[in-house]
Amino acid sequence: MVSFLRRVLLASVVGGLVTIVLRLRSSHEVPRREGSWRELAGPDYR
Amino acid sequence: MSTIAVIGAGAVGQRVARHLATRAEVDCLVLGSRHPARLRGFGSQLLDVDVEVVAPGKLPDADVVVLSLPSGGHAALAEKALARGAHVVSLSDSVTDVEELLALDGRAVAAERSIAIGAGFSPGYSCLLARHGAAQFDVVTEVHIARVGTAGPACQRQLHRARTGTSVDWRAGQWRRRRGGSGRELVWFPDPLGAHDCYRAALCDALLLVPAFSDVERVTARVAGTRRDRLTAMLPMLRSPHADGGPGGVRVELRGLRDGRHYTDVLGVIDHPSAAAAAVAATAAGWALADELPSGAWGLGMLDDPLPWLAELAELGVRAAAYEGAGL
Repeated sequence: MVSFLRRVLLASVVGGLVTIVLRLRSSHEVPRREGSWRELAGPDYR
Repeated sequence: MSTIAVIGAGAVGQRVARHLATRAEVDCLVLGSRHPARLRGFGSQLLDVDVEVVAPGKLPDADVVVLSLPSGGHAALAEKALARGAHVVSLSDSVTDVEELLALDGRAVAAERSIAIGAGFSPGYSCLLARHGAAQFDVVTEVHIARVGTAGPACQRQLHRARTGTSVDWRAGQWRRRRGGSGRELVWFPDPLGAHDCYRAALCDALLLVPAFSDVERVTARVAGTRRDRLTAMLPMLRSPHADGGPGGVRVELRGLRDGRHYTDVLGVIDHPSAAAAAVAATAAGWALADELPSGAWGLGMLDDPLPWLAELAELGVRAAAYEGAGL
């Protein structure tokens, strides 16, 4: 039983560390964008 | 005396009623609701029009019936409305509803009545944008729709179901059914919504757009979702939906040939989905009341000329935008 709990604990710790590494390494930057939005006006509706 | 029945008086239905009450050509509004008592105060706010509130049961006599109730059963109600000689405007975005409504085309033509299908934000305004943008091409080969945001609680429940449903895309001349939640794509919506990851879901835009573009090779539809949306999609809704899921947006990407060269055009709109959907449905009801719509069952992408619709919607505050300067 103790051995089983140790394995569960070890798996949780390793899983948590992997998650932390992946989250820290992944980029949260949104890709750069070119161009812009132009609202359609009078001539666009004719 | 002209009468319009609005069946389903939720977040969108009430806004549709407000729009219609301002139209001079509408004499009487019939509001259908599961809770008629809750609408007494609302009905008294609608001036210059007779308002009647009815509970579920027999479909009221009307010139136009707007179906703004939750998805499911729209075709059965549309059939009853047709039998009573009414035009129909449906806001359902359920794949089943849209397929069943499209199947009523023959009956609508025979009755010389119109069934405007998916007359909301997306589908609806998205189809108008697709049709409008297509005018700039000699041949449209691809149409890709993406949306973010929802209208009222019924719309949010429908989207929750759609996330785990089967998406319906058009590719190389045949329908492709794929698992909802797959096909992640980063989509830029008009500012200030910005970029959102969008995924496949059981959305009906392709069903309504493919008949409108004879040479189209690909039509897809995606909806924005967060990690939590995707994780909890398979579970019952964990909390009550918001009263309004806005603001939201629609992005329509068209690819095709112009003077023998390949181009990509992008159109979009940002608004509260409930407000924009109501404006589109009310506009459709107004045109139906004036007998200006073609007979049959169709989506707004099948209209010959979307400009009068877009112009009328712009006057109601729903304005489209074009993405420019990126050398697409």
